[in-house]
Amino acid sequence: MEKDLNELTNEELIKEFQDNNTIEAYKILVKRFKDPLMNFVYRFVGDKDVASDIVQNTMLKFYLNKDTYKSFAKFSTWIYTIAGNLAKNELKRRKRRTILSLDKTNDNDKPMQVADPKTLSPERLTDSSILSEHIQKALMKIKKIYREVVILRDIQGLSYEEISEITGLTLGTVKSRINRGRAQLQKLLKDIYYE
Amino acid sequence: MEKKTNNKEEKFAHVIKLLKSLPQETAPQDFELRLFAKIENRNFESVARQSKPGWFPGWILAPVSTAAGRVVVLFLFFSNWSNSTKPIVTSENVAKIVAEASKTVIQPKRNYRIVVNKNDVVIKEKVTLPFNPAKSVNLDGYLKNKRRLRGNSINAPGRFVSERQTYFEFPGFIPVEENQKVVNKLKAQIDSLEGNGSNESSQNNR
Repeated sequence: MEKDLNELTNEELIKEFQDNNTIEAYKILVKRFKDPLMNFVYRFVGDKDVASDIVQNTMLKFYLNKDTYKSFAKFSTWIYTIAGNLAKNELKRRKRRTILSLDKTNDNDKPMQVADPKTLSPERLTDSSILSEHIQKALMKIKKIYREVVILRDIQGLSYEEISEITGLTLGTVKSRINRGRAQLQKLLKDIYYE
Repeated sequence: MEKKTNNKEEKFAHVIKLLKSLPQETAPQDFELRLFAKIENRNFESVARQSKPGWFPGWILAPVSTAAGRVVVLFLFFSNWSNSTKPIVTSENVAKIVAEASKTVIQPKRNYRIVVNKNDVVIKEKVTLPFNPAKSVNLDGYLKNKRRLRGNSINAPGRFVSERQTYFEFPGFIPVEENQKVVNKLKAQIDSLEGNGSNESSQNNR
């Protein structure tokens, strides 16, 4: 039975879950999407624990609201939309907390300490963990509206049409936002921009 | 259009390459275990907490609650004010008030007043006052320390605050003329008027 389910597409699996409440179909979809969503949300919020909680909540929302999915949409865009909205809400909440917080000594509020590539030797720059940390920091510096689309396009590898569906933006807006985000990143990453 | 997009992608090729080089973040090992435990235990609190967090922004709460508090205070103030002043008195209310007032009329007691008749005769006339003189206090006298107290009296000022007196009905302050003084004063005034009048008439005759 499970083998058969594994061969089904995402859309067929959610239909199975909707129609027959087949928990196995749900589990397969969780397995398929937990890592891509984790990657997307982590790059968006910049915190692994928070990202893990958001993806958990995304899956719980999917479980609780399975009937709100309509078969004309792609399952991947539907689940990315849920995750994206939860991630954006989390960032809003964090922003409010930062504004309202009187305790400025909280370590969580401090900006991430990343070595400046100018001070690093080329050998050290090739250290992938430092490089990826620096790129992540640059990602967190660009506006949320640009960051979301850039991650979906250049990290997650989704098509413009899919991004348009996920974000609810027109195709033109998606493209312009992606390019603006890339331009901002290019400025921020100019030190490691050369080859 | 496609060419334009490709040109843009070429322009940012290095950024795209850097982004694609990022390691893929994966969910924690216990991700599914935790998720299915939540589903088993019907523990959906985290989702309920997160759902629609923006329907009422938190930063609005403080000013809204302050404004609401002020409105409540104003409402309470004006509701009391309107009750006390009764700006709208209906005929039914008037009838009710009159009926209540008529029940609480104080039976007047005997006293005197000075009346100057048209023929300039000043007489002392018995009047009824709306309070019992035996139970009243001459406040002027008391303040001037002239007429201290009648010791036996129920009207001793101490009685006003006495613990022994369980009930006290206070009709208000009522001016009482000091008879003899007023009589003398009025007589003097009348005499002076008569004098002036006679002088004036004699001057006119001249």
